[in-house]
Amino acid sequence: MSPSAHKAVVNTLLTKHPQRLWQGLNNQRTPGVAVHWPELDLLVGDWPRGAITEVVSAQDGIGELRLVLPAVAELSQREARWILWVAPPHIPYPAALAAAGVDLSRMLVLHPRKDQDMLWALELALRSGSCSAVLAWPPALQDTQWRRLQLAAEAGNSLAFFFFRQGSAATVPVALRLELHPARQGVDVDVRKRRGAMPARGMVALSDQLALAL
Amino acid sequence: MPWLAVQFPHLGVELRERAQAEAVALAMVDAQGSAGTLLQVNAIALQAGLRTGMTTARALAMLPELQLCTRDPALEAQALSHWARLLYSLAPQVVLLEEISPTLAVEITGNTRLQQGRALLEDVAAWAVATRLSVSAGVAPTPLGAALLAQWQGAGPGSSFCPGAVDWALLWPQIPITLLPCAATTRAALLALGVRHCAQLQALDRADLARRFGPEPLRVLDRLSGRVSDPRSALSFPADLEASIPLHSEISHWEGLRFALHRALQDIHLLLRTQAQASRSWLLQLQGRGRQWSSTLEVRDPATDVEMLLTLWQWRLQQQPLDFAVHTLRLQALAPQHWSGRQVAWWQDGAEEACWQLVEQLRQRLGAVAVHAIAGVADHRPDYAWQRVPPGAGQGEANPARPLWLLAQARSLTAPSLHLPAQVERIEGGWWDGRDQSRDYFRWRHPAGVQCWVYRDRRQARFYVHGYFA
Repeated sequence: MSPSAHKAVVNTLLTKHPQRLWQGLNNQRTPGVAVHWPELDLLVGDWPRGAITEVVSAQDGIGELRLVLPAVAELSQREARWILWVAPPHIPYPAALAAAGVDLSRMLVLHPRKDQDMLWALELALRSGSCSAVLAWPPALQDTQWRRLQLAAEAGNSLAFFFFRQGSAATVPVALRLELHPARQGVDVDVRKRRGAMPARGMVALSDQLALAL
Repeated sequence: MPWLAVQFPHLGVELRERAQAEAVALAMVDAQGSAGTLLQVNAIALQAGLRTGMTTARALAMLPELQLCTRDPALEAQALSHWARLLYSLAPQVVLLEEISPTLAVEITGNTRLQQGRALLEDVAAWAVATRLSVSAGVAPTPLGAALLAQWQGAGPGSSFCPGAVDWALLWPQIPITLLPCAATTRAALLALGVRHCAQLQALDRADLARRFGPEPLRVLDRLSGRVSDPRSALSFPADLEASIPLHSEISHWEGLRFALHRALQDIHLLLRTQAQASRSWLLQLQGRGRQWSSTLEVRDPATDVEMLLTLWQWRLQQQPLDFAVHTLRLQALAPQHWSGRQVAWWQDGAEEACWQLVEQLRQRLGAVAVHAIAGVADHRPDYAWQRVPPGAGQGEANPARPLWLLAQARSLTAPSLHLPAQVERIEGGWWDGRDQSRDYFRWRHPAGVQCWVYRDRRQARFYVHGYFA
C-alpha cells in the first residue's frame, strides 16, 4: 500500500469515528468560547465548553476576573441563560460588571450555607444546561466529587470556572488548569494542564478597558 | 335533553386503595367483626375468589390477609364533590342521584361535543384513569335512565350511549326490574309475579299496580321513561380547591407521604385544568396527633407540572424533617387564577422555562435569601450603590472606575509606603440618611501584586481597602 493510500484509509477512519479517535487540538466536540485576550489566546486557545477550568490564584484581586470576564460578558449578551456565581468571596460589583459588558439581568448569585448544598447546587446548575457560565469558589474537592461535577459539566455544555487558592492533585480530570501570579502590567498565567497541548507559561497584559465591542 | 350519568361501583374500596402505595386485597364490609357481609371488593380480592354478599368470616377464611374497611361517608362525599367539579366543566347542571348511590348525573343538552358521538365518554374515561376510580357511564334522555344504563351495561358494548328519544323508547323497556330503585320487597314481589323487564311492568294495569304496590314503582317508571319530568336540584360544593387524604397508617417519613401527596396534587391539578385555572401557591398541612405542620410553596410559573411540584415539596420536606407521625394530609391551591394554557411559538424551545425551573429548584433547597441577583442603585456612595434583587431583575449603570470585587466591610490598611496620589475621587455626603461619608478614593497596587481600591477617610485620616480590581 502506498503512503497516500494509508493516508486515505486513516482519513476515512477519522471521518467515520470522530468521537473514538483522539485528534489532539482538533478534537473539540463543541466549539469553545473566545477568550478575547490576544496573549491568552496563544496560551490556551478558546475556553473549553462542557468542561471545568480550574483557576488557581493565591490571592484575590490579581486579575482573575478580568481574565475570564470578556468571555462571560459575551455569553451573557449572546445566550438567554444564567451567568451563575456560586459563593463568590466578595460582592460582585454591578457598576464594574456592567462596564465589562455583562448583562446584569442574566446574573444569578448563590450563597449556600453548607458545602454539601454548594456541591449539590453546582451539579444541578452544570447539568441543567440553563447556565451559559458558572463561576464558582468551591471548597477543596475530592476525586469523586471532581468526576461527578465534570460529568455534569459535559451534560450541560456550559463554561465553568472553579477558583481555588491552592491547586489540587494533578490527577483531577479538569480540561484546563491555570495558575495565576501577579505581574506588573497584568497577570502571569501558568498553564499547568490543557487538553491536547503542552503546558505553557506567559504574561497576559490586562488593560483596564474591559468593555467589549460586540 | 340527554343526561350523562357516572356511577362508581367500587367507590368505597377504591378510595381506600388509592391512598396507600402497596397493592393489597381490600374489601368493604357493612359491620365490624366477622358477622358482616362484603359490600365491595377490589380487583385483587376479586381475583382471589371473593364476591360481594359473602360473609366476612368466609372471606377471611379464604383470604386471611384480606384488609377490611367500613364505609366512610365523608371521604365519599369528598370524592363525589371532586367529580362534580370535573363534570361541571361539561355543562352547568350536575345532580347527585340519591336513590342510586353513588351516582352523579350531568345534563349535557348544550354540550357541543355530544354531537361527536362518544367523545364525552372518552373524557369521562380519562378522568377515571386520572383519579384512579373505576366508573361506568351512561347517556340517556332522563337522569334516572342514564344512571340505570351505566349500571346495566347489559346489552353489549355501546348500549350505554343512547341520547336520542326514539332509540330510548325502544331501549328502556328492556331494562331489568332488578335495577329499579324501589324497595327490595317491591322488586321481589314483581319478580314473583313474573315481571322481568320494564316493558312487562308497563303493560300492567296502572290502577291495579298502584293499589297493590303503592305509587312508588309507577313514579320510578315514569321518570325513567321520560313520561313525567324529573326535576332535581343542582349539587353544590365549597368553592376552595383542596384535597384531604387520610393516610391508612401513620407516617413520618417522606417516602410514605410522597404517594399521598402525588395523589392530592394530581386531583387538584385536574380540577384546575378543567376550570381553565392555575395556581402559583400551594398550602400543605400535615396533621398528626395534636401536632400540625404546614408550609406554603410559591412557584413562579403557574404551568408547573405535578412531577416538578412533587420534587419541590420533596426538597422542602427533606430540609425540615418531620418529628411526628402524620395521619391526614391536606393540600390546598391558594388563589387560583385564570390560565388558558401557554402560547408557545415554534421557535421557542422551552429554554426560558428551564432557566426559571433551575431558579425554583435552587430556591427550594437553599432558601430564597441565598439565591439572588444584583442591581445597581442610584447612590453616589459605593457601599449603597448596589443591592440584592430577585433573579432576573438585575440592572445597573456602567461605571468603569469601580472595582469588580467590593469588600462587604472595608479593611483598615496600614502600609508605610502609602500616600495620597495627586488624583483622587472624592465622595462626600449622606447626611440626609445619617450615613455621612467623606472619602478620597484612589487605586493602589499592593506590594503583593493586588490592584486595590483604597480610600482615605478624611475625618479619621486613615486608609481602608474597599475593593479589588480583580
